Amino acid sequence: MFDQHYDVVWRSLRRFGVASDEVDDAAQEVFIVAARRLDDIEIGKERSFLFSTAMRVASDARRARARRRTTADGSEALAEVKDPCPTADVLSDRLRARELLDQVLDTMSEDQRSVFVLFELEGMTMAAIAEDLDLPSGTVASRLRRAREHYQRQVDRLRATLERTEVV
Amino acid sequence: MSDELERLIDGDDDFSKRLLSSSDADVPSDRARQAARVAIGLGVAAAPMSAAAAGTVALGTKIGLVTALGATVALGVVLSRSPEPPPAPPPAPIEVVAPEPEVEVAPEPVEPEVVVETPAPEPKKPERVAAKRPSGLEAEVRLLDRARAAHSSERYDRAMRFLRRYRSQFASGMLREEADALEVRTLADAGRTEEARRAAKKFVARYPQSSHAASFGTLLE
Repeated sequence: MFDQHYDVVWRSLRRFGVASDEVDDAAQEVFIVAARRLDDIEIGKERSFLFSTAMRVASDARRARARRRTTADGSEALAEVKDPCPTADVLSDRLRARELLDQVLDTMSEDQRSVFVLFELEGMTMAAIAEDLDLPSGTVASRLRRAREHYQRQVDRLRATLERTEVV
Repeated sequence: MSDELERLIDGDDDFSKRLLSSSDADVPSDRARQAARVAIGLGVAAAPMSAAAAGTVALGTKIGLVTALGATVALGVVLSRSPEPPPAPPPAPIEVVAPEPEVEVAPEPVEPEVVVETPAPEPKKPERVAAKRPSGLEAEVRLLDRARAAHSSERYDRAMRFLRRYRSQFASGMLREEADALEVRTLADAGRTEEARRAAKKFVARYPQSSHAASFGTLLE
């Protein structure tokens, strides 16, 4: 189970919002939980268990990180981007792009984010997502639709901000 | 909406694609993977791991690793669905304190002094020794894994043999605390209550801050 799922769990944690410097520990935590509860995990449902644990661990990690922050504003606005990149060229920097992606994903609800990440970034089918997250397929489809709309809005806003900055 | 829905990363929006594809770099390091393996009691993967990498694991994750390993040692959990029992070497009636058997110890070939016109390079010999010898941490984990596996399968004498071997090989080992805690549990589970009690007290004296003590229960009363 570990060898088969470690990488996808690690990636998912990162994309569910665990900071890059905390994701190793978070992945370890997921598997420690799995080890402790091995007898409770249904055969064939290992990935489902790991995903649900990963989502919980990621949620805790995000909350803990948020508590550590001193800023009061938790709104979804991308205006909170503290250091907007000066030109679109900077986006060629993958790290900066990754940072921006995090910021966009951070504005999603947990429910939407998990479905969006698994479909768009992990490349899973909606049927597989429904199975792994133990959700009806209709729920997955509607969450994905809303997540994509949300993503598109945020990306458009981000693009506009960047273009404006570039012109100035 | 169907599963054949085009993914945004395959769409026409370059900016969006660039954002999404930036996540391609989300890849765990080998160091993190190995540390997680160790933490849940699986030991170091069979895949080759350089001594340098092993050293980094040892230094970088010592505290978390030891704590986590302790947790899994306490539970005797092995994260594996494999139905077959852990690899069990043949019964060893006599305790052998020796290097891990995985190390190839082919007898040193006595190289006769033969004059060779074109000396054929023999890179194998030094390479084999260097590559096969496990790092300190690897060897510690392996030995402790064996002890834990024996304990889990209620072969307590065998577990004690491995623990004694651990102590003799790694008197100041990184996982010594875990080994000592496992010894207390093994003695207790084997019904050797008095010995377990003494070991538990010794353990607490040696590791007053250890979280393992809580699991010793009545042994410390």
